[in-house]
Amino acid sequence: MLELVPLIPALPIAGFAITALIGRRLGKRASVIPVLAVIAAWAISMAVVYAVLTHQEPFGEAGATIALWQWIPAGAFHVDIAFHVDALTAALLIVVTTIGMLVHIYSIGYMSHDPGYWRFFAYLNLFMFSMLLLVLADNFLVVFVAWELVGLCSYLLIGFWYRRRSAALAAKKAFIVNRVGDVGFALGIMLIWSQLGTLNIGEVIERIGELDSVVVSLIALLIFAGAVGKSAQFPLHVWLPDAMEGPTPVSALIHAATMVNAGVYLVARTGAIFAHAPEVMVVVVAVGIFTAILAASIAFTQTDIKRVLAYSTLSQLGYMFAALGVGAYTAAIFHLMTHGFFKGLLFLGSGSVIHAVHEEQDMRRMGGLAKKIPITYATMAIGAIAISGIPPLAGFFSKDEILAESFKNGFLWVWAIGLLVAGMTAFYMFRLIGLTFWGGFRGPREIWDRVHESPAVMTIPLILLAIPSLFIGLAIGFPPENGLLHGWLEPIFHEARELLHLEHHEYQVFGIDGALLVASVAIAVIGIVIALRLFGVEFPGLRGQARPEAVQRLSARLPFPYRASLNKWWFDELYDLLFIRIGGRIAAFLWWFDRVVVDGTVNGVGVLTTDAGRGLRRVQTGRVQNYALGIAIGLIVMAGSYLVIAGR
Amino acid sequence: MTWQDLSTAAPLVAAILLAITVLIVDLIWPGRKALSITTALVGLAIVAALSATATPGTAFGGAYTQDALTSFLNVLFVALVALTIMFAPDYLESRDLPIAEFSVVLIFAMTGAMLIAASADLLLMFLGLELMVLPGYMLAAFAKRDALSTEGAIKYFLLGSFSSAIFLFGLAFTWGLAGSTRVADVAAHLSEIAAGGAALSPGLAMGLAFMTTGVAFKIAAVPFHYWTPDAYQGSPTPVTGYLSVGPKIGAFALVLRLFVGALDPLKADWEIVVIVLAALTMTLGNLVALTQSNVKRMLAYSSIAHTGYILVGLAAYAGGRIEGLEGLLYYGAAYTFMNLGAFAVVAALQRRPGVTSHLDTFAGLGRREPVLGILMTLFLLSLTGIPPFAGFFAKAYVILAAVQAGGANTILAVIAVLNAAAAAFYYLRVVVYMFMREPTTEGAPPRHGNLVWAGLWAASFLTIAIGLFPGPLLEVVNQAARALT
Repeated sequence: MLELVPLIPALPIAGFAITALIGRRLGKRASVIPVLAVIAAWAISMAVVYAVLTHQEPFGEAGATIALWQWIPAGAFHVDIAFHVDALTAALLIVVTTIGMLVHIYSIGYMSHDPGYWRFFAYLNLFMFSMLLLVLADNFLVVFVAWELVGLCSYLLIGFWYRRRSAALAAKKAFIVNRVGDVGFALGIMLIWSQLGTLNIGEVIERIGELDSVVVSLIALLIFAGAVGKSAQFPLHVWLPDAMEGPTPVSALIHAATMVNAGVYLVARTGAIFAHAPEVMVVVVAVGIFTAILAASIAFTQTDIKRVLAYSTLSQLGYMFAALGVGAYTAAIFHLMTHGFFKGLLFLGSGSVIHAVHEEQDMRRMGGLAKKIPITYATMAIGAIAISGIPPLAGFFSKDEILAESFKNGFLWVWAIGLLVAGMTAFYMFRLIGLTFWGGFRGPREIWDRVHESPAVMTIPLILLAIPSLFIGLAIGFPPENGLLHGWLEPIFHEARELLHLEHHEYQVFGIDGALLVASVAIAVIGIVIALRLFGVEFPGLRGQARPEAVQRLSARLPFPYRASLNKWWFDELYDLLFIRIGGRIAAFLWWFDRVVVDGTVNGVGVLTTDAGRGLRRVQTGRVQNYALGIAIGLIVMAGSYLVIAGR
Repeated sequence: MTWQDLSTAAPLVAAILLAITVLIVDLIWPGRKALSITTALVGLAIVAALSATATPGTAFGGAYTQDALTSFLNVLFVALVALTIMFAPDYLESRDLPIAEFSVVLIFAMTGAMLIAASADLLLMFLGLELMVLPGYMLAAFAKRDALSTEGAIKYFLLGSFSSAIFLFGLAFTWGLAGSTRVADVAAHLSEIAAGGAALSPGLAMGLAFMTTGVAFKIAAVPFHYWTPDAYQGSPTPVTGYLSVGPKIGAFALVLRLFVGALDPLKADWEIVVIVLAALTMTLGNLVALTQSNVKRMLAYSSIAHTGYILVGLAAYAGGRIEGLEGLLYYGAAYTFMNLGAFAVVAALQRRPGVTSHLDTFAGLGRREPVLGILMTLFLLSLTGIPPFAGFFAKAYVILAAVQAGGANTILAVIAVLNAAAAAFYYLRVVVYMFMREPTTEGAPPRHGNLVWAGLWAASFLTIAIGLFPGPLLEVVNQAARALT
């Protein structure tokens, strides 16, 4: 079984290579190879995951490593290409390959009219390879390579419609903002190497305790910086909403379900390092929960359907980091999985909506679509209920667990803010559903007449994603804190939790846990009810009119919060001022310095060397006699120096 | 001579037989080019297989030795000769130059190199050296009706003979003082002297000086490099490619057998000389390469610079690090494939007679012939030393060894790094011309033969593969280096 593991990343990269080379000639058939490659990778992954989670040989309890080859053997510095598969990897494999496969299939329909069809599938396959490499690698340097590769794919796919200026700019923004975090990550890796002399993740975690606590904190902070960039946490969150310029399948796959989770995965994987630096964990909590509430507040007023989902993604990622920070590693990964499924579903659903109303993304020009596109409606409604945290859907279990653990591990403030965010989440999700699917259509008449459900190749992935959104929480997370998933992941995080002195409490249905559960369901219901009151409802047996005037009155009464939310708390403006204006001035000065002083020096050296070169070229006279004389002189000098050396 | 001797020297014997066979094939079926080339390539494959599987041992009374180093070098020689033969036909055909003779001469040169790689006797080394370079003179003059080619060849011949004489003189000194020409005996005698702690006798110092000079000429180290630009410039381009690699690797085989084998006890004495030679060689090679606007000439000078980098490995060995030898051998392999590949692209562009190798020829190549452009870029990036190509790891290993050796070697490592940075300028300039300049020539690009493509793909594959999966090659060079010490 272990021997099959290399095939999982190998299939997509082969698909990429073939499609990149001959895809252009295949036309509409270009999708066949990439899709088949990913389906095959999915099948193998599932077999491997099953073997890992049932503790079959050779995986056992601790997982197994398959070494492929030594990549960089340079004395003491060596990097092996090896894949490590344990329960954490398995959890990620489930999310990445399943959603990856469904997005590939969905894209056959979604991208069918695009001239860059083959290019799209080539990039998608490259992304799958990179992401799988990231979760399989057992070495920080290989993780970093994969980290950069997913960043590259993200850049290529956000800017997929590169003729559109906004897409090209968004791609650049994503790439540049990510660089900030990546520099931190790279520095962290160098620090690890200089301190421990190894980059193997397992060895590093084993030996991290040897180091000085300040160094460990620095390492943890630097790794976290990388995670903040990739997972779009405050203050580097600005790139993700703009990334919605990419095609919707990309938003679903990369910017909701997989790549943005890389940061969460990395922090969970190196959980033991963070456990040695409790003060850094507080930073993780603070950044996470702050991002959660910040993004949720922005999602309140956004009108672009994909942007609402993007801010929702930020907010949910914030939850995951908060969970990691309070030591609830399993809950974080649990939320990562459930969120991957329902957010992937919501994004693909939004793509289907956008498709139906002819590339319109503004929810103010939608409405009443439930009648026209019932499958999309039903599946998206499931996604919305799941993310709102209504039992027994997926999101409820994972979110409740994060909140409950924050409470029980002594982070009351995290719990309180988290609870508020849960209510806000429920509110803006049902605002989205209300504006999009209920009431009357607010767009042009001729578009309404042509609104149609998407083809089966797009709706079937929606249905297939709706199923886990309904049941995965129940299936792997029930009973709470004692489900299947906990059995899988507990051994991996055992060490880190022990370091943090977190003990496993008995779950008390009629005690604290029950109370917390009721609280989180209650707040979700409150959020939904407010949304239904304001934006209408058309559930069977429950009807209500939208009240736009009430919305307006409310926003008029709260002018500052409303404008803050609408303008995304002016972060783009702030960064514009800080980095474009002020930074630009500094850069202009540096440019001047570089041009006049540095270039002057360099060019001076250059002129000097080329002059020297010309002078030397003159030695090359072309006359044999001169050459022979030169050799003779060289010989004499040589003999002289040997005599000097010998006489020492 | 016994059967035992012959079977130990089987690769060499096979190579000589191969040269004669190709000659006879061409004699019986003159003009059947495909036949000659096929015979040569199949034969070379057999020689490579024999070399790789040869059992270690000695022959001819201990003068000939077959070990891991011999096998490694033999396979490398075969590979570079095979690649040269693959790259040549397009260029030679369009200029009415015979390909069969070309192959025969090349294979004879290869037998010389193989003899050096296997020699455990000073005289045998000299014999191998001459056997290797004499066909080189013929190759340099291969375009006999071309005045430049003939002129370069005559200069090469005159200076080459001069330096051979110097080298032989050095051997004579050493023989006179050590009383034997066998490598093992010389080494034993010298280590007695070194162990005694007394100063070197002037005679031995003179011997060392003459031998160093002779070898420095053959590897084209500064200041004994004068012959290279003229010989390289005048020769037909495939020959230039060969001359920049074959005799150089052969001469380094000589360096290994002579300096690391016989003169090892005196390494404290020749270390500093090698360090100075290396520093001078790479710096001067790079400086002059910077000013060239002709790609062929640029590559000629840059090959001088590469000699310098390879010498860094030798210096690191003299400084006490066996990794230096491994780096030297690794560099030799990496350099062979990337440099031959680059010259092959130049030769392919000169398919039509009259096309120069000036930079302008490369303008817009990325658009006219994208595959050729990309391959050239790959070779140039590798020559610059950019990961993950072979050239990067080659440089990394020799420089790393020099740093580990410490002392004066550290300074050498710094110089090497600075030089590598300077080299980026002239290599990448070609890339800029290929991808960012409008083509100056009109008309459809020439068609290239399948053999050329096969060779180019093989060279590029190896350039990438050695960089990405250095493990197996490192294993081999490690064994080769240990066989020597």
